[in-house]
Amino acid sequence: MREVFKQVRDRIKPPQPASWQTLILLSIFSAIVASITSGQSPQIAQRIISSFGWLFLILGVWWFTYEDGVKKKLTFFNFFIGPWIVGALICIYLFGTVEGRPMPTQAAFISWAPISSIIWSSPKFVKSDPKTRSPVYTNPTVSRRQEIILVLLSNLILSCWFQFYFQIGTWLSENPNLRGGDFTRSGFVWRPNPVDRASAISRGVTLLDSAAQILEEQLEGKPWSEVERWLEQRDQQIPNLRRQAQERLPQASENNLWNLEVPAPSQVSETVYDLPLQAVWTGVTARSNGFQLSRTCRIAQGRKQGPPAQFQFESPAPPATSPARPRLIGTVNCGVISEVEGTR
Amino acid sequence: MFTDVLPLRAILYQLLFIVLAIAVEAFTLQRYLGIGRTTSIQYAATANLLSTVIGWFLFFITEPLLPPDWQQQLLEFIFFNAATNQPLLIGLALPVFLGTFIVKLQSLDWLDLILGNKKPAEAEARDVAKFRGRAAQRQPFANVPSRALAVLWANAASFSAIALIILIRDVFAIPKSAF
Repeated sequence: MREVFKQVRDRIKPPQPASWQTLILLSIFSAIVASITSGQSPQIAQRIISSFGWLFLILGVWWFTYEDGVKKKLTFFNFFIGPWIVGALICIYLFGTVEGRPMPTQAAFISWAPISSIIWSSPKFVKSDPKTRSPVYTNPTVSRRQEIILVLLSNLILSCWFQFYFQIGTWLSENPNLRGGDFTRSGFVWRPNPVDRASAISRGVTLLDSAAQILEEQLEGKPWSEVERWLEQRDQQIPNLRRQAQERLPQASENNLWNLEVPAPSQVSETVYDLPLQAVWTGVTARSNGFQLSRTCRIAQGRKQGPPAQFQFESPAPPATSPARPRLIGTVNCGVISEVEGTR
Repeated sequence: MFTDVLPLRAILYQLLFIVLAIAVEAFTLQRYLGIGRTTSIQYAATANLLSTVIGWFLFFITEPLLPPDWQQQLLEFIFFNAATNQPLLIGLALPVFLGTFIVKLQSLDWLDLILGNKKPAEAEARDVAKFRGRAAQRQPFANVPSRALAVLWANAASFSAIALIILIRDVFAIPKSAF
């Protein structure tokens, strides 16, 4: 048992009291203590302990990246990227986990590059005093000053790019109709999986299909007078139809980009109406004119002879309409879906 | 806040334009000012990076202040490359050119200040020209290594190069359907 303890201790014991391993161990220790510390809602004690854990982790990693072998491995084309690792940790600590968020915030991403470049340039302002060997402030040499200026400026551009990314996100959430657009012509943005025309059209087709289906359910086989009343009260019926058709679609954000419109029907003859159904794309297109799918449903009068008619024959008090006539019902026949462009 | 629409094209074009502008301007400055290659590259790099940063800052500051229809046009331009308000774009070109010119000229002064370079001997060059007598009088001041003039030429050269690339991009873009 003692052997085991000794082995474990040898394994984790830092080579020197003052080394990066000590700091990492301290941060692990703080993390463990913070995780077993429970408290009331503000969790002040836990936050203080975990802050110390972060502090030790940042200092430990900072130290570690400046170790000789590590520094060599982290240097690409004579450029040492260690500070950007330390900077990322600092930003995650400062802007990410303090409030216990799962994802670092916008501020963390934006400040990452400038903070890292400040960390990168800070050793250049320090030299060791030849007598006391303590660090003192110094002006960097001319070539180093030039380096610092260039690195700082290019990192500011980097954080501008991050800010631009978040700006795009804001624009898209403020203008949801942009989301279905096609960005292939854009000189600024790129989307890994674009909304392709085929799948967008298939959603519009689904919308028209379900609208036609609802229309059939409501009118097919119904008495003709009811059908005519439906057509007269179009203004009340069509919002219903639109809502029901949208409800039948599978849930997807792009579905809202198709709008169902039902213009006034045209009367072909006394008993035949053509009711157009249109799915209009409300998303922004590359051209300013719109894009829509259209389908015409023919609502016609049909005759139906069957038990109800016979039943009317036998009734003792025949209704005002002649019972001898077969019942007049509505029939719905929807045509093919066609694509219309440039109508908006 | 996080979206799958990435500004990758903007980043790539900006990288390309910055590298191109630094190369073109370094070459121009080297020729007009008669300075070394390293110095001219440092000048051009500092000037271009600083003007890019200032440009981004101005964009982020002014974008929320724009009138709504301008914002809409900006979005159409950014997302669909649709220049719906071309007079505005053309009208912006001159202020942008002058603004970058002033920023670049100023940045060289600041760079000299930070690096402790002594100011280029503009006045001395003129004095030397004075003593050359008639030969100098016949030659216009273009022969004098004026830094402002050199930066103006460099800026014009880099703007032309970038405009040419944008033109090529837009002319040879694959025509897409209306969707």
